[in-house]
Amino acid sequence: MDEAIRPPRFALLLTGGAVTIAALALSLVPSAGLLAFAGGLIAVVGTARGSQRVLGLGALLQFAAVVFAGAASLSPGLLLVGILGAVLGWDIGEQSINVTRQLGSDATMVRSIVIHGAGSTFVGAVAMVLVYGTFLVSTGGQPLVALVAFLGGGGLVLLAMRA
Amino acid sequence: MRARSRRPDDETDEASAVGLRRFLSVFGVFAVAAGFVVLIAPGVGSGLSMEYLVVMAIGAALLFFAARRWFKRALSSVDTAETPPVERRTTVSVPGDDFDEMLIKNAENAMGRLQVKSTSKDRIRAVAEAVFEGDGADVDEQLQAGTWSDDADAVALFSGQRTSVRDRVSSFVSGTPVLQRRIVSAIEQLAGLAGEEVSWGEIPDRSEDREPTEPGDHATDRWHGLTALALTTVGFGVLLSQPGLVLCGAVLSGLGAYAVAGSSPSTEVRIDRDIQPTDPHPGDSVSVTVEVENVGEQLIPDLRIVDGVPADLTVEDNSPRHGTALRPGATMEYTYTLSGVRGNHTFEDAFLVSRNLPGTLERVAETDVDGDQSVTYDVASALDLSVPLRKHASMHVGRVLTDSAGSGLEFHSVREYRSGDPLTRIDWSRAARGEGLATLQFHEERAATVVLVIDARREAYVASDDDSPSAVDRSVLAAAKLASALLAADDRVGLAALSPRQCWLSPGAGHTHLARLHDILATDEAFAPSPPTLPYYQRINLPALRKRLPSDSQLLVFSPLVDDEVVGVVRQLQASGHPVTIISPDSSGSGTPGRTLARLERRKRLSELRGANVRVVDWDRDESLALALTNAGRRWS
Repeated sequence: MDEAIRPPRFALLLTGGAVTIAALALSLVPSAGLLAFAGGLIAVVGTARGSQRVLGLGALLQFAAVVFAGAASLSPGLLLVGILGAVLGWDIGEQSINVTRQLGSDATMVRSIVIHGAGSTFVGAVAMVLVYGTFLVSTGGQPLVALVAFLGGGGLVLLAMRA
Repeated sequence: MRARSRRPDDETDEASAVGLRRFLSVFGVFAVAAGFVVLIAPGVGSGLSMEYLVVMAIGAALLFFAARRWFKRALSSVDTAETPPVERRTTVSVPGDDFDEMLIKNAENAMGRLQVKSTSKDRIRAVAEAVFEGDGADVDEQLQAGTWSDDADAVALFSGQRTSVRDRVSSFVSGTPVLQRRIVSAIEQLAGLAGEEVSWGEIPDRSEDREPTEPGDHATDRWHGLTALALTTVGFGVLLSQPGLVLCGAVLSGLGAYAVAGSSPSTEVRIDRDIQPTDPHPGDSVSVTVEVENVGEQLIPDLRIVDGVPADLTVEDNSPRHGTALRPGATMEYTYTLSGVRGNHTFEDAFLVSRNLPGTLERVAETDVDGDQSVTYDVASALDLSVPLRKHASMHVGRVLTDSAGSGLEFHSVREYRSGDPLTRIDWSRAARGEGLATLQFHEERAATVVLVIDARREAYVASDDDSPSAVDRSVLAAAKLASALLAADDRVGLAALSPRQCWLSPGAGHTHLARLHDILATDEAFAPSPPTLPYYQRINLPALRKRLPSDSQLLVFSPLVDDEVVGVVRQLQASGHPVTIISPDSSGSGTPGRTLARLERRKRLSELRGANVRVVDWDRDESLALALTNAGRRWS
C-alpha cells in the first residue's frame, strides 16, 4: 500500500470527460475556454498522480474560468453546464483518489466511483434544470425587493450550510 | 490517529459565522464606505439608484464571506479513514534497520547525537576487533592513531579530531550531518576490509505507518468549499449584474443541499470467506474468495472492504481490498491469492468503510467473517539428507561412527585376545603367523540423541528483506527436514524452542514420533509466524531447558545469530557437556549502513562460536540446506 496512488483509467476518463465538457461549454469566450482547458488538464493530471492538491488547483482554475466567462456575458445555459462540469470533474476525481488511497491501485473499485459520480451528476442535472427552467419562465421587471430577498436569504442559507 | 471531526450536527462554530450581529456589522462597514465614496465623488452616486446600492452591498458582503470561507477551506483538508496495512508483513524486521532509524532520527538534537555517537562507536569498535583480529588494546590503538583506513571521514570518528570548517560547510550543503557521514564511512571502510561488497541503497522509511481509524462515524469534509464557491459566484454575479453567475450559485447551492442532506451510511453486511486449500504445502499459494451481501434495508452506495489478511502471509495476486456498491439483498464476491511459508495463520476481522452517496459521512466498522478463518501450512517434506553429527552418541545401536572400539565396519585397532571375544573378530592372519591371538576392534556405530533447538525469540524474527521468509520460517522448515533424515538414520530426535513460549518434545524414534514432531513444528504456539510479545529471560528459561536435556544428547541449534544473547546461550549449552552444531540461516540484509553493520556483527559471532569449538553451518539465503550441510561437513572433517 505504500506505492503511489494511481486511480483506475476509467475514473480518469470520467473526470476528463466532465472537465472537457466544462471547457467546451466555456469556449465561446476564448480566453475563458483556454483557462478552463488548462484547469481541466491540471485536474486530470492531479487525479492520475493521486494528488488532491493538484486536482483542487485544476478545479479552481476551471471555476475561475467560469467566473471570467460569466463576467464576459456568456449565456447562462452554457455557464451552468460549465460550472456543473467543473464541479463533477473535481467530485469524481477526488472520489477516485480517496478510494484508491484506501484500496490501493490493484483493487477493483470502479463500481463505487461510478455510482458516486452518477449520484452527483443526477443531483447536479436536476438542480440545473430547475434553476434554468425558473430563469427561462421568469420575465424581467420583477420588484427589486424580491431580488434582495433572494440574494440576502440565499446568502444566509449558504452560510449556514456546512459544506 | 489524527483528530477527526465528529458528526456534523455537533458543529457549533458555524453558527457564530452567520450571527446576525456580525452580518449587520459588515453591512454597516460597507454602508459607511459607500457613503464616503458618494461624499468624495458625488458623480458615482448619481448614476445609481438607492435600491441598487443595497443590492451592490449585498454582493460585496457575499464576496467578503466567500473570502472567509475560502480561507477556512485552505486551512482544512479532506479527511478519509486510514485502512489497516494488511499487505505488509509486520512480523519480521531486517537486522540493522533499527540502527538506520536511529541514525536518521536521533541526529536531530544534541542528546540524540550523543546516544548515536556512543552506540555506534561501541558497535563499530566491536566489529573492528573481529576484522583486525587483534586484541582490544591493539585495536583501540589502531583506531586512535587512524592508521586503519585512508578515508578521512572514517578515521575521524575515532581519532577525536575537531570538525573542520570545510566539513561543516560540505555537510551543510549535502544535508547529512558530519557525525552521520563519519559513521557511514567507518562502516563502509570496515566492510571493505572484511571483504564485503558495499553499495548504499535507499534507507527504507517506516515512519509512514499510521494506525487504522477506529470504528465509528466521521465527517469527511469533502464538500467544504462548495459554499465558498456559491457565495463567490453569486457575489460576482450581483456586482457585475450577470444573471448567469447568480444561477451558477443557485445550482451550487443545490449540490450543497445534496451534500448536507446525505444520510448515514450503512455497514449491515454479511461477509463469508472461503479458503482453498486450508492446509497447503510450504510455499504453495492459497486462493481466498470473499463474498459480501447487503443484509440491510438501504442501498450501500460506496462500500470498501479490506479483508483481514494474517500478518505473515503475503498477497501474491489481486488484492484483499475491494470497492463496490450494493443494493439491499445484493451479493458480490472477489478473489485474491496469498502465499506463505509455514505455520498456522488466523485471519482477522474484515475492515469496512462505508460512505453515503455524496461522500460526506464515512462509517468505519470491523465485521466478523463467517466461513474459513485460518490456514495451516504443513512442514512435512520428503528429502534425503545426511546430517553430519558430532561423535557424541547414546548407548543404542545406530549409524554414528564413534571413537569407542567394538564391533562395526571400519577398522579401529587391535588388542590382546580376551576369553569370550567372538571368533569372527580374531585376527586369524596374525594367529597363522604364530604371533598369538589378537582381537580386531572396529569403530562402534551407535545412535545419536539429537535435540533440535530453534531460536524463536523476538529477535529471531528477521528476514533479509520484506519478501523473504524469516529466519524462524527457515529454521522450522529445516528442522522438519533434518528430523525426518535423522529419524530415518535411526537417531533419536527431540525438539525444543529457545523462546518465552515454552515447547519441549523428548527425544524419541519412530514414525509416530516424526508425525508428532512435524505437527508441533506446524502448529505449536512457540513457532507461530508472529513473534512472542514477551522477552526471553535467559536466567529463567535456559535452566529449564538444560534440566530436560538427556546427558547423552547433542544439540542442533537453529538461529540467525542477530544478537549476542544467543551466543551466550549456545556457549553455556556447549559448556554443560552437550556438543552443539549451529545452523544459522543468514538473514542479514544489505544496502544500508545499519544492515551492513549487522552483517559484520553476525560474522563476528560466527567466528566467536567457531573459536568456542561449536560447529557452525552458515546457511546462505539462496543455498539449499543440503548444500550448506555438505560444505560445512567438508570443512569439519
